[in-house]
Amino acid sequence: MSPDSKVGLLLWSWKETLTAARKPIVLLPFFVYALAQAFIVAGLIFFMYPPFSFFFIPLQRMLGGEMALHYPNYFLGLPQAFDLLNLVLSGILGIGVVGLATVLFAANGRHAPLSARVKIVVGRYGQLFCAWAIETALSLAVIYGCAAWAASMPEFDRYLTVARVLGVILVSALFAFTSALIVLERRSFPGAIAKSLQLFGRYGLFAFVMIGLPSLLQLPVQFVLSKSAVIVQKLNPEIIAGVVAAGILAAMISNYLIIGAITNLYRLVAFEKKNNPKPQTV
Amino acid sequence: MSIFPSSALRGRVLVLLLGVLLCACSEDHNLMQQLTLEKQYFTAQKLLEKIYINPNIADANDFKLAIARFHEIVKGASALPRTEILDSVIRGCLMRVAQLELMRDNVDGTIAAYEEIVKRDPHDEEITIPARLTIGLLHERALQYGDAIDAYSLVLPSLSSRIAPQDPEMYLVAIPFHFARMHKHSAHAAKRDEAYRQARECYQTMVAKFPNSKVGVAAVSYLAALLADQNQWQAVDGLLNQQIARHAQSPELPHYVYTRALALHERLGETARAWKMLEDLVAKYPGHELVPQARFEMARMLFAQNQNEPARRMLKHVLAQSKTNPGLAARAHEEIALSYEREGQWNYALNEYRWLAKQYEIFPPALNALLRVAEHYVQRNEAALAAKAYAEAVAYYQGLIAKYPRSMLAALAQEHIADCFIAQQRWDEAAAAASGIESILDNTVGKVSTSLLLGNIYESSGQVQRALKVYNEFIQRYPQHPLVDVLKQKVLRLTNS
Repeated sequence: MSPDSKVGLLLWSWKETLTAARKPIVLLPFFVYALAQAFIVAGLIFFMYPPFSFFFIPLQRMLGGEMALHYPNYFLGLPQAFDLLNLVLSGILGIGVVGLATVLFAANGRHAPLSARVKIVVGRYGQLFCAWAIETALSLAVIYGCAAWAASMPEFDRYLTVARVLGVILVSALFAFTSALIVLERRSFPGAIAKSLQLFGRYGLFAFVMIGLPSLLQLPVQFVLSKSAVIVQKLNPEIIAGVVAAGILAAMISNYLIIGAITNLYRLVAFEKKNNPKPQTV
Repeated sequence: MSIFPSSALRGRVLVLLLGVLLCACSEDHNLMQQLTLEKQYFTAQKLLEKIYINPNIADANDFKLAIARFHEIVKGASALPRTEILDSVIRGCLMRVAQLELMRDNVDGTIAAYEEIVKRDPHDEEITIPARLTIGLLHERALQYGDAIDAYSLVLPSLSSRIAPQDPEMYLVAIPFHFARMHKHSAHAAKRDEAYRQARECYQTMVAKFPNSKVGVAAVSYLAALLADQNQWQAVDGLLNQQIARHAQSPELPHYVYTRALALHERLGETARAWKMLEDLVAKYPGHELVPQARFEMARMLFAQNQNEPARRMLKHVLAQSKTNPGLAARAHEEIALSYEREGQWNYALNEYRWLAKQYEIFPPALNALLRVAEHYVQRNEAALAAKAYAEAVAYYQGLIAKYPRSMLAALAQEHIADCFIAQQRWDEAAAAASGIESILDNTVGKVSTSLLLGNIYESSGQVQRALKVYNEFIQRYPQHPLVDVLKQKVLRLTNS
């Protein structure tokens, strides 16, 4: 498996990513994030019990009104509420997780205290946040723009759904290298975005596939959740919680593969070229 | 270096944190119980859905279990402080209990559930009026007319506010008429007149409130029926005349014209005026749905004047126009058969009666056709032919019972079998046939029909003790039935005789 060919480069990046899992420390940021997500899901479901009730009752009320505090409405509204809170969580914790994961993948097994790596990420938090804010704003614009089009042109609904998914992947691909550039090269967010766009010009297709393929893992979950009302009415409302939990697991795996593969690609083409010898081929 | 400059500040922060922790860990018992109830309610509804999907498969235990679950939720919710949601859960549970009780034919259980609903929100008309109306309908169904009257009388004054003029629930419009009708056989004339007055007042309000609507038209019809019930035919004519003048351009005009023509012909003896009105209606609205009926009535007017041939021609016209109205076609065949019979053309009449019985078996004229054939032979003293005709009729009715088991038609056919035996004075067979009605129609209608017919059979056959037993049982079982007064007089007469 050689990174010299285009397909080889892709496969090498994924192989390196999977090999990195041998060191459990690489998985740590993803577990922490999944744990935080699980806490949110638990809070949204068990909002009536302490200690969740103190924070989650007002939160449920704010998100879904008084009706969201009743059974089975809180299961029906769970996917939307979770999506919203997950967006906030990604702005608070998610960017740190991506930054730390990038550092850990880039270290390629070289030993250094975790606290030192966390310190690097914390130091770049402001820049990471700004880049995340711009990327998120663009993604949301694609999502809501397509939804608005679909509403005005229902006959193209199916095509617009595909366009929305591809659009979000494209935005992620455009910003794919920003985290690596901010935390590893200590670039400012405008410089990182500019460089990421430049890299996209050369490795856009790789980035698109590296992000798009693992993202497919989440599609079945999204499909099932789009049928929430039917599940609640015809089956069991509690199933929604199980599906959201499965979504967290799927997101954890796909994020691991995306960040790992992108960092490895970056390491190969931009970082390792300068500082390290070329990676060994298999 | 400590983040707290003084131990006093550290203490305050500690107290504050403890307070927050206490708040976070304190339980809201009511909310938790409410959510538990909501979950139970949701699960119980699933149980109900399973019953709804196929009520025939659901067994008695499924009903029992679902009802018990809903009652449990009501009990639990009643123990909590009232909230809008809990109120709606309780109401929803009681409504579902009522539905389940009704599905398993437990009228008393259904009434109890609705009464509980009324008891909980006695001042909320949105809830109490429909509930009381249902209570009234259920009592009426169970022949507890006194209780039905009590329930209806509470809602009559505000009934019109419950009716949507363009898309009305027609059973609501019929309530005042039911209310008055339940007094029809009452021995207290003043009470009866007052009930009819109240019902008329209700309909007058509806007519005034919804002049050009489906409700308005229905209200006028009921008003006319109430007046007709009290034999106030001139008032009926006046009312309909008024409506015709008011609705000169309305699509409802033909209905008013047709009804008025009937009243004029049948009750006021003004056949010429009635004929003219129907003739105009047919000419002016040739495509109207009422035209075949108008022609049918015109044919009956011709029969009444012994103009049999033109009447039959007109009825042939009606038959050609009644492809989608087999009920009217059956009546037309019956009239044709009767006219042949009157003229002495028995073979033609017999053909018509047989055709009627064969082609229109689910309509009342068909049920009467073969009985009429037998009666013809009885009148002509042709005993052998009469006996054969009665046997043929009984076989025909038995065929209908087998074809439409446990239906109203089967019950009517069974009643006709009893009639055949009564006509032949075969009393034991007549009594057995009458007893069969309630096994076909296992409800109050079936039971009442059996009792009244059995009483008549025993009375006619001179079995006074048996007749008295049946009547007394009926009086005891249905004390609120409108025929109770009549039966009491019968019992008195039979006892004295």
